[in-house]
Amino acid sequence: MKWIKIMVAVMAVILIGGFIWYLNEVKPAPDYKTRAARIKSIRQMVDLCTVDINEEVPIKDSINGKWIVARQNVSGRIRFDLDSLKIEERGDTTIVYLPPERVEVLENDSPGAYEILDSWDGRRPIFGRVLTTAEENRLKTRWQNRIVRRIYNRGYVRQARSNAVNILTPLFGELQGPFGKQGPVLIIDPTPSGALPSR
Amino acid sequence: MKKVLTKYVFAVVLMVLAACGRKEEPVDVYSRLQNVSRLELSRMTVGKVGMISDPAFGDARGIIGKAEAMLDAVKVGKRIGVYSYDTYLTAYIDLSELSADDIDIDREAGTAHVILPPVRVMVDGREPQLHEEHYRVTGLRSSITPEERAALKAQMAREVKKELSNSKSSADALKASAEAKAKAWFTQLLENWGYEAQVEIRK
Repeated sequence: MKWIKIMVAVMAVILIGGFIWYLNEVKPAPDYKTRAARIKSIRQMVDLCTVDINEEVPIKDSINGKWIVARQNVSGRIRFDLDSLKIEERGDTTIVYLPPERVEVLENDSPGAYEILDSWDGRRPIFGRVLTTAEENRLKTRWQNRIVRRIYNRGYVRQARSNAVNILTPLFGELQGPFGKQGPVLIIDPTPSGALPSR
Repeated sequence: MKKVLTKYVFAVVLMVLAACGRKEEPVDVYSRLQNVSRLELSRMTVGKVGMISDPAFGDARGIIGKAEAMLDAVKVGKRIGVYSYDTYLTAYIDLSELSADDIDIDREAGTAHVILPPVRVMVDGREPQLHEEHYRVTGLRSSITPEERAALKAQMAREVKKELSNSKSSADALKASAEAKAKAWFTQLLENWGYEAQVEIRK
């Protein structure tokens, strides 16, 4: 009888101890093994950024019969490379051509910028296949391209190019001409609506 | 009439001489530069690698974690996925912070002394795609799900933020690169405007 009481007491202590340990230890987020971030490259440039876009995009899409519903925070920027401007000199006139825009769409760097709300196999309700990394990446590239197209369609690129011309005109308006004297400087935008990359 | 004309010519000559002798108001150069706003000068790519795998019993947290680790150890097969992605940081100068006092133009001497606003660093964003560096799911183990990959990426993003805010050397390297580029580019620009340029960057 005495032994039974001792066993019950020990079991109770183990259970209570285990429960407290569970509450304390289980709370942290699932832990994955990672390596410290490392610098891969540093590149110099002179980029004029005239438009910033931040959007939260809801997504429902499929590939190979596998579906995904997600939410993604994206940051888009429209830039112009001023380091490789095409400059022509005709007589005493200097002509500066506005370079092609660079439209970049990235995922926001906040931890919760990409959240999967649901994923399933539309073709096999039982023993469903899981979306592979390659498939998910293809979907993400598709979403990126869609956002880029939307940026063009909404006229953000036209606005960005117009802003760039307005900024560059006074900036390069005082350039010294070909013979050291100051002639007129023209900023020419060869494609005011921009050029949507074919992807 | 002759006397009046002589006085008028004299006044015009005086005005011209006065205009040649004084320093140019820096307002024009100031507004031209200030109008540029954000000029991006350097970009850093930071890579991060993470792994999804069965936790070792010693690494598992909590009773459930420990139990799962024990169960995983007796399951048939392996389950490992290694993933990476890049984060991009940009160093820039916001020329809208420029003030008229930061510009000193002397047209007579043909010199321009400009103090540019400090270089700042911002996180541009991260690659949406994850690179699968290694994937080995064998035996009776289940595939790695997109939810697990998203959770791994979220954890990696948290760590990248923390590591970058703690690492002064990486921010310094990026800023130094941007400062060098800014000095070279603005010096060239001011020389193209016909000035002997001296460009500094406020720290």
